[in-house]
Amino acid sequence: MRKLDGSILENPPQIDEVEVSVFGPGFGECIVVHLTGQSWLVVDSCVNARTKEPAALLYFEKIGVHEAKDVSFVISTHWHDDHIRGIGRVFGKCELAKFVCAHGLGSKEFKTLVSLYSHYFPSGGPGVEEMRQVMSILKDRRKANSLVSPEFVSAGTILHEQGTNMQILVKALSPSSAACLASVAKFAEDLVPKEDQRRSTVPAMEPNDLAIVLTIRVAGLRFLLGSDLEEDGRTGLGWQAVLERFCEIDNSHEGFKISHHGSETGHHAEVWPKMMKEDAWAALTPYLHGIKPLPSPRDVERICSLSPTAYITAPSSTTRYRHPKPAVRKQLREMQASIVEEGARQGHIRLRKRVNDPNSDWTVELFDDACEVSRFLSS
Amino acid sequence: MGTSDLARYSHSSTALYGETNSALAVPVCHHVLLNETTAESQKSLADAEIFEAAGTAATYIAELVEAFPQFSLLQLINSPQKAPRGQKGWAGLIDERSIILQQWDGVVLFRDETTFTARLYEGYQDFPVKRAEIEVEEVADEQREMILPGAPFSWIIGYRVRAGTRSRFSEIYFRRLAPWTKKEIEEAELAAIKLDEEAGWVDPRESAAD
Repeated sequence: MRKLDGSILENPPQIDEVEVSVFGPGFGECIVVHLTGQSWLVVDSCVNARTKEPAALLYFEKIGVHEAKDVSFVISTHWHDDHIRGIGRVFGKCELAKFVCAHGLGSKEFKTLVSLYSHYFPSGGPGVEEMRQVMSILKDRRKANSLVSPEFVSAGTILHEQGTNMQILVKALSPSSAACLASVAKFAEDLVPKEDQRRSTVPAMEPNDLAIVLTIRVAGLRFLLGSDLEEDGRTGLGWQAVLERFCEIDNSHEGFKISHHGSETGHHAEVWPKMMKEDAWAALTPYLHGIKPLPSPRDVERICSLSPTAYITAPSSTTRYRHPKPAVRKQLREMQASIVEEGARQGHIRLRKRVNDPNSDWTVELFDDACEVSRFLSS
Repeated sequence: MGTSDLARYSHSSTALYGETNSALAVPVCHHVLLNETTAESQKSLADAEIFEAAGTAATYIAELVEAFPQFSLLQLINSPQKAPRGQKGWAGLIDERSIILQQWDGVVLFRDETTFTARLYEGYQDFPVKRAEIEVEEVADEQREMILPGAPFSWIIGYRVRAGTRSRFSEIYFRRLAPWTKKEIEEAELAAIKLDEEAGWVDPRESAAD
């Protein structure tokens, strides 16, 4: 791994260069992958705090990528608020892209949920609203081409395969069949409201069994995108299901977008020894929305012990919000009410490697607030 | 329920309360929502909105948000039609107006005995996301039982001008939303079926399982 200083964001990758760009504003995550040639993927979406535009679209504009024709897939690994904000706009611009989500979201229970909550912002929240936007775009596209439809994936689904000897392969390692079944049951039992039930926001879907983990191979180079998959010891679910089925064939990954913001619940002790190369890089985004921000100091220690080169898009700390009007600030002080911003600081980790050069190593470039995870080691 | 419903509601309320003098505890609704689009709700408020109504701003809006749960606070409050000041027929009311400095829609995330934590929105495009920790005692006694995870509320900070004096206020009130109805759920189920055809949103394995 080679760290480049003084990088220029606007430099596009070489034609034979794989790129993994991770964007994270403290509340949100987006990954953009260059599969060499003119082929790109967008995995999840977050928005820029200043422009409020989706991070992927801003980046494509800067490096001169024509998202309308060059993006093959827009993948929503799961519909949590912090992974989906702006995905409707991304999919709208990526005119030739296929929309990908987890098997289970094709169920009538999920569609009922979206239909019910999409009229009640903020009760539904961005997760529901973005899915509604994607469905609306699909409706329009189907009027011109009735074959347009989303792709529902589960463990083992090959999304993309190109060239002989599997030169490029994009494969889902989750959700497992058990996770899909369990999630549809959860939609029906807990998430779709019943008659006379109190109206509130969509209940959280936790743990997130439906998250799509992706393994990507380009000419022998492999890396793993962990989404928010968690592990809590339930048979057939989470990381243990991925390990049981795939670690024999899908191993030796050179990099890992760490799962679930580096949390303890996103970690399975066997993933690194069985699926990663010894010196694999790690990239992650923070999560500032919960009671305790992620990654915690303990998570930071664990991540640094597993990867010699681990990067995070922004510090896992919130920023105190200062209201522009003095009278409001005074009122908030008197009330002893504190307001923080969850996505004020954000960064971009860019990892690249040339596939046709045997001497090539991964390079990493850090933009804005992105930095080494080791910076937050307590000692 | 659309814009015209809300307009009808506003007019009928004005007529009803305007004719009686028992409006002390009930606000008179003068504002007509003309636009329910998302764009309207995202309008930035560079300057303080001057808001005039009989009764406090909070009681006025509280009634509207209860009657029209599908509209955000901003949609309800950003009416371009201002109430005429000093209008006749409001006997018994002290002329009062409120200057709104800040308004948020909120959703409770979690609470303990003395405080609750909530996410605040000024519209769907609002980002970075704001999170507030607020003391429970800032909420009226009768509304505290509604401070539950997922509960939506409205929060207004502003000045109240009353009988020549001006005071700063903060008002938090929880939306007493009607529970889900059988009709709504049935309509959503029908909409879900239509999505199969219209958006192609159907997993072949799901339809095979059916």
